[in-house]
Amino acid sequence: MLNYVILIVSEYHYDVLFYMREDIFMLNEIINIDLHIHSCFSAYKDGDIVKESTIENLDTLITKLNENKISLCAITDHNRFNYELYDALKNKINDNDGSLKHNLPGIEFDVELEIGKPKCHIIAIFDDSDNDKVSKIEEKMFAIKKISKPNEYYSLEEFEKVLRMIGINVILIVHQRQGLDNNLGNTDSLSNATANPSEFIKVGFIDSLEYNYPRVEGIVKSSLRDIGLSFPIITGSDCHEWDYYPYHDKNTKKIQRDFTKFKCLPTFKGLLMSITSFETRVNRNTNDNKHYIKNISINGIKYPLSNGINAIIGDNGSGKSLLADVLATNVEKYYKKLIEKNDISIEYNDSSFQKNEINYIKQGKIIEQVRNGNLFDDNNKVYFEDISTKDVFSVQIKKYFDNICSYINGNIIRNELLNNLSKTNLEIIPIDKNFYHPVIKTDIELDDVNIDKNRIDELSKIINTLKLEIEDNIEYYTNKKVNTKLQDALNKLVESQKVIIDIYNLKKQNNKVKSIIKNKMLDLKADLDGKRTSDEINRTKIVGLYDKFKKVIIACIKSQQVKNDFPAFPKKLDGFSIKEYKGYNFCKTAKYNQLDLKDEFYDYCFNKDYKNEDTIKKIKTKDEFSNALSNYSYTQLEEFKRVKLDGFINEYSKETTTISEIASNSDIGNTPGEISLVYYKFTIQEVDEEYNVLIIDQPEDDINPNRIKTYLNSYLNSIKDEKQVILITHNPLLVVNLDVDNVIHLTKTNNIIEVKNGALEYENDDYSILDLVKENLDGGYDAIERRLKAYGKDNY
Amino acid sequence: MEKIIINLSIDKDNNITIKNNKLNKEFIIDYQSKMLNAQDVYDVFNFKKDNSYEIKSDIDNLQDEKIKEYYNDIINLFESIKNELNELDFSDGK
Repeated sequence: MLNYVILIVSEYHYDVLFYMREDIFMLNEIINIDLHIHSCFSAYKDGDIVKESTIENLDTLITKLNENKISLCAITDHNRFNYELYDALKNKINDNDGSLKHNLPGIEFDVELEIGKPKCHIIAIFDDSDNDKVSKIEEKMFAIKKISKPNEYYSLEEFEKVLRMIGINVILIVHQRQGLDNNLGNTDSLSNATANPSEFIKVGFIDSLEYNYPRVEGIVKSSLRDIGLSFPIITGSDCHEWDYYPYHDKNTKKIQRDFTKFKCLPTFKGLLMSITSFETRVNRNTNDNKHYIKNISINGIKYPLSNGINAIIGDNGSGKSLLADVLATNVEKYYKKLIEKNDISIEYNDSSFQKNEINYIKQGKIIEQVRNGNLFDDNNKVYFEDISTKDVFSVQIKKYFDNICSYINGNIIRNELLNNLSKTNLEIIPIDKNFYHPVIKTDIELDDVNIDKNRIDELSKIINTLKLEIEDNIEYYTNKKVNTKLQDALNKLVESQKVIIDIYNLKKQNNKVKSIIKNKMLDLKADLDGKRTSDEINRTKIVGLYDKFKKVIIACIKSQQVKNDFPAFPKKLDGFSIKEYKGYNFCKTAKYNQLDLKDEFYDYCFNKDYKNEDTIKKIKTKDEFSNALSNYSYTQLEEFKRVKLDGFINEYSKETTTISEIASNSDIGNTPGEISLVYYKFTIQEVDEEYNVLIIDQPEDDINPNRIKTYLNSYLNSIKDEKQVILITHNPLLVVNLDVDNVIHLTKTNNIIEVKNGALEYENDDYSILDLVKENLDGGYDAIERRLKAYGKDNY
Repeated sequence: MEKIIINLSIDKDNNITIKNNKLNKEFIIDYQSKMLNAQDVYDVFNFKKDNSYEIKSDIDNLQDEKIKEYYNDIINLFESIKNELNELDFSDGK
């Protein structure tokens, strides 16, 4: 099995002055790359077609490359590498002000992968960091074999030997000019050269496939998808006549020519990072975000920010959060000295930029809100709906307690009346027969109208609520064809209420009549009493005693007959709400939801000897009632309700929130990390409010690495070409795997902040961004290792 | 509706016995003390919603006007209680 990698340790050097140019030490622009250009050194194979593509005509090529906005190129002749041409182009590029920034050494090899099969073309792009080795590429190649005839080729073994002999890190790109499952014809493609093209891809022998026309791109992609592979495919011009660049030659049909677009530095390392992270680096859309933070100035130096993803890294206390605060908010007093000392200022790309265009999520904010249960309490967006039965629950519990009190009071009164019987005696003193003593009854009982009034009020509330509901949503109910039914229901309610109102009015009228009669009787009694003699007064007193005695008995009998049923505990109540929003169900559940809370109610409200219905039923005295109430006397019922009863209601009205994904019908979990991920999804990906810059201070808090890779990175990736993102992080997954466009490394010594920044692939004489990531982020080394493992570049 | 007779009878010492014939419950008003207790009256009526009370007495057998007057006052009291009990209305749940 082939398991071919080239591991060459080398330092990677760049022209520092060049990379100090603000626009290319980090990723802000999308660049075009062409790694397949021929020169006159392919003449032995291609003949006269390349005769004008000479060192003397390099200016033509550069002009054409600039016209086509190519930033990185490679001249890759058939089985040849001319250092003189490579070096001349390099020098000319250094003096060039166009898009072209860099050229890499390369060769297009003819290789026989399997004996008896047609050869294929493999483009080898070499690392240019060791110029001495680059200068000897052709010499080393020829030492193994020099191909002189058009149909000659290297065997696979010879090809591997050549690469080993050259001894430079290399990226291998193989022609694929038809579907991978198509081995017909001879197109110099991988699928012609081997019966198992997918094996060469899977083992990592090659790094990319090259197609020539857009139509072929779709075919190759589709065939890769069919075998379940995601693999880099790029295009090259295969230009032989520079005058006709980007076409093959003067005879090529001049159809629109597109280049593969990369977001990388125009360097070998940038190319390598792109190949190892093809999905995040290649064919990205241009970020159309028109408002972003252009740069931040610290201690007199301007550090540009990418209008893509920026990661601020550094030790604790290095000033990361300070920077986030400065960028996102109006500076707090706490930072004033530090800001002044470091002369920190911000520059936006547009003077109309406002800070409210920044969506800033401070460190720990989300986790704190998850723990407080108010993460989704957003002023602008209601994720969770209120639970509609909370008021009902409160009313039911209060009413139940009132009913218990009524029951107990009924028992107490009944008991007191009973006790009163044995204490009440009457001495029979005969009244003279000739005593004129008309009995004036003044005790006329009035009807209780409160019960009717309460019912009328309750019905009024229901009627008004229904009326408002219908009025506010008339269109909705009309569309659903239930408007008439609701109106009927409303009318029936009004009619029912009218019946009760009539009864109430009649009772009130009766009471009025009774009151008039009573007053008249009292007047008559007073009139008669005024006319009585002393003896008659005495006799009246005796009659009064008789009446009183009788009343005690009648009152007691009446009290025993009054219905006094112990109230039933309220039935279980639904206590939840569900709101569907963008593929998720946001559910709120009250503690009382579908719970029988009878035991809990007695346990919460009453003392230990009265913690069940039976003991409460037996209460017959005020003292017993006071003993039953936890820490309150029966005279403090209102206070008891306000404190104790409301305490119970509040306790069992507490809400828990859950979020579930509708598609998978699964809860997303209740850990802060899991919940915060959903929040990030909405804040980052699904946010309704417009923002241009997203700043998050340590989004990785409490989220496990797998979820960062699978979800958080995906959310951030989805906006990287639409917004400017600035992350403050200690997590290498959010730097290396997310493949950020710009890393800002901070250190602080004696309150002086020092900045090192650049793309992941950026390095200069002082530092390498990948090294800083390795050294400063926990697990940074592993993340980079994993990222470059496929390529075997562990020395990067 | 069940008819309950509360029977009042006086003995030779003018002690009056009040008896609920159905329950065989009774109490006595001693002539010397002339006192009666509300609990005793309550018990002897033994009120039930469906009862209809009637008072009977042997006053017509009495000759002594003074004792008759005394006895009549007691009968009037029981009549008065009976009337109220027979008129009690519990139809409104009261």
